[in-house]
Amino acid sequence: MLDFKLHTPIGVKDLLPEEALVKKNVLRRIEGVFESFGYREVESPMFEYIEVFSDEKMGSISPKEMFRFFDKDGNLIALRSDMTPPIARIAATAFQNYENPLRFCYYGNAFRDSKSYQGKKSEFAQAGIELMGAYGAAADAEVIAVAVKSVLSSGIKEFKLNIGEVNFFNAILEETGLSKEVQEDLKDVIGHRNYVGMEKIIEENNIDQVTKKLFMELPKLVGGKDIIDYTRTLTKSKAALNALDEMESLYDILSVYDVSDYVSFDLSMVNQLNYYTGIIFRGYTYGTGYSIVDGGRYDNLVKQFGKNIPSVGFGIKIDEIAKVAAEENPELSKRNISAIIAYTNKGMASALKTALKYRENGINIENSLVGDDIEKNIEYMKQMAYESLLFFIDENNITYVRNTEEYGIVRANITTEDIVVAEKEAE
Amino acid sequence: MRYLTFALAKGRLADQTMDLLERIGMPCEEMKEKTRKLIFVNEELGLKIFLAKTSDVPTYVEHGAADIGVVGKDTILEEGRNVYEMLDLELGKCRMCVAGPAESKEKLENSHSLTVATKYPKIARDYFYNKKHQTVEIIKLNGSVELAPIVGLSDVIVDIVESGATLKENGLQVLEEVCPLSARVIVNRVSMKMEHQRITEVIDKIRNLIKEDTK
Repeated sequence: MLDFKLHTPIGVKDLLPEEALVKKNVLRRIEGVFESFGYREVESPMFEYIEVFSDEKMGSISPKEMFRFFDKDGNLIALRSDMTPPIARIAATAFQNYENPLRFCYYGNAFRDSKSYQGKKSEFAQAGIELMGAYGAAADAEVIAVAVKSVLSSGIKEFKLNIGEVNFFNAILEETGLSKEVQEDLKDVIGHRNYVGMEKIIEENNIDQVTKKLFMELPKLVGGKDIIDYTRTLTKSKAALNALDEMESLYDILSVYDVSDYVSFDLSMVNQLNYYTGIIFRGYTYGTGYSIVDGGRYDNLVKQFGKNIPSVGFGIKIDEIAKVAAEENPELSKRNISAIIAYTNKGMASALKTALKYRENGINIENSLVGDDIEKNIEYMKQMAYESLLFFIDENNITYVRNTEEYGIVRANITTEDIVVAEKEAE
Repeated sequence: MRYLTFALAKGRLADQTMDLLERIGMPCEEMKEKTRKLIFVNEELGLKIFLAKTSDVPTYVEHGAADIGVVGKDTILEEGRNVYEMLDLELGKCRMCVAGPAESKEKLENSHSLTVATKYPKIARDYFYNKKHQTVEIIKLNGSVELAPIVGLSDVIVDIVESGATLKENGLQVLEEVCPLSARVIVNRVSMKMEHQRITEVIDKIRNLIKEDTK
């Protein structure tokens, strides 16, 4: 019989020390970048009234994908399915009368009830920022720069951030002159990345040659500034050209931030759920089949909570990034502790005092508690991959054991006086 | 250079796809030998090709275990994975149909208690609920779906129809067409961005071949 208490439910997992360490180190680095740009951390609750997430225009998650339950009063509650709506709520309520802009960052887990047996997680860690109350290319560029610098801080080198523009896409959609319904269909197939379906709609409907060509080339309109110039030759729509100008000025600022090498424009990017209102961007790297950064401008969200301010932000998928970064960057898995102490009864007081001294000097040291058998302590030291062991035989005498790559286990007899020297060196 | 990995749906479609790949300069002769090896590597061109069960191809591609997949539209619709659908290979053309004995025709029009047997519950559900706005009972089967109406398990079936010969032999006929089907090239979302140039190049070459062939 399946003993449930031994297992975790589908979609969630434990993080063992090695993984937890990498994740924490990645988070610390990203936090550092957020702080360096002046973003202030806010924490929203793990669950909220479902309206925060489910009202129209709130986000990308359907209520079916939320973990839902009732509170004692019969109100419908949902586990946090998206990090941004709660922050919009906070900005609109607690910061109602503040001068703009507001800069917030967050770290936390979001929950989505994903289908079984697809290898998808139901709980995932996210870190992100929201810049609220600032318009224009300067604000967009800052947020994109923070995104790129955050990912790079984890040690990931091969990284691409694709930027699309909702207003460009809407403009060329308008330019087709198709009925609203067909436009929706067209947006839907492109949103689902179904280019075969897109070509069918384009072929079957009466669209002018210029716009037809633009749509046919859409999947290929990915690249740097040259793509913007090229795309200008493909459209006559004033709104589309305006959007391209915006993107060009964005690119110029990104060059100053020194992140333009990581950025590509992707004019085929579509806003599937009418959530984003300006730029949209997604970040990719090798080693994971999913995007690791998702973000964009959403000028209508905070309005839903009663304060009308434009906003732009992004979220980083910490689990995905940690998985990839751990392979590229061994620094992330390094423990900040290398030694253990052990002792016989006679050596205990001296051992504990020495350990305290180390800790006061900022050196981490673990008390093995394995007992007074030195061989057992050496086994333990190997298991925990520590470099050295200080075994206190009595008050003054110590066996110093090192686990070296070259010679294996090496022992030396030293006294507490030698330790003092070691401590001074460490200072 | 990183490997570009292809996942092909086992069977005739894989052979046809490999012919296309050979014609655009990606030799696959090693694949065609009968061996138990599951994956083939071409170091020179940085290619990996493997064969997978048809319904698994979108899964490999969605997770990025394969960059590019070749699979029937039926599987794409049924699996509903988040992938790019880049190209219609115009191979393995057939139709997804509602079929059954002639006497089920009336029931199909008017009944509120229609039972539908199919290997494609998602496609069947989408067709009846979203297109026809008809509530039906769907029974999922794993093969020989034609049996279901004959032995009284269901009123109609939703299945792939090529020539219609199997249906005819069993006294069934096509009652409605759900959608046309053919083989498609699908691409992982990240690969499409990270390897945009290489992948677009492969796809354009195949697209041109198909254009020539259909001329």
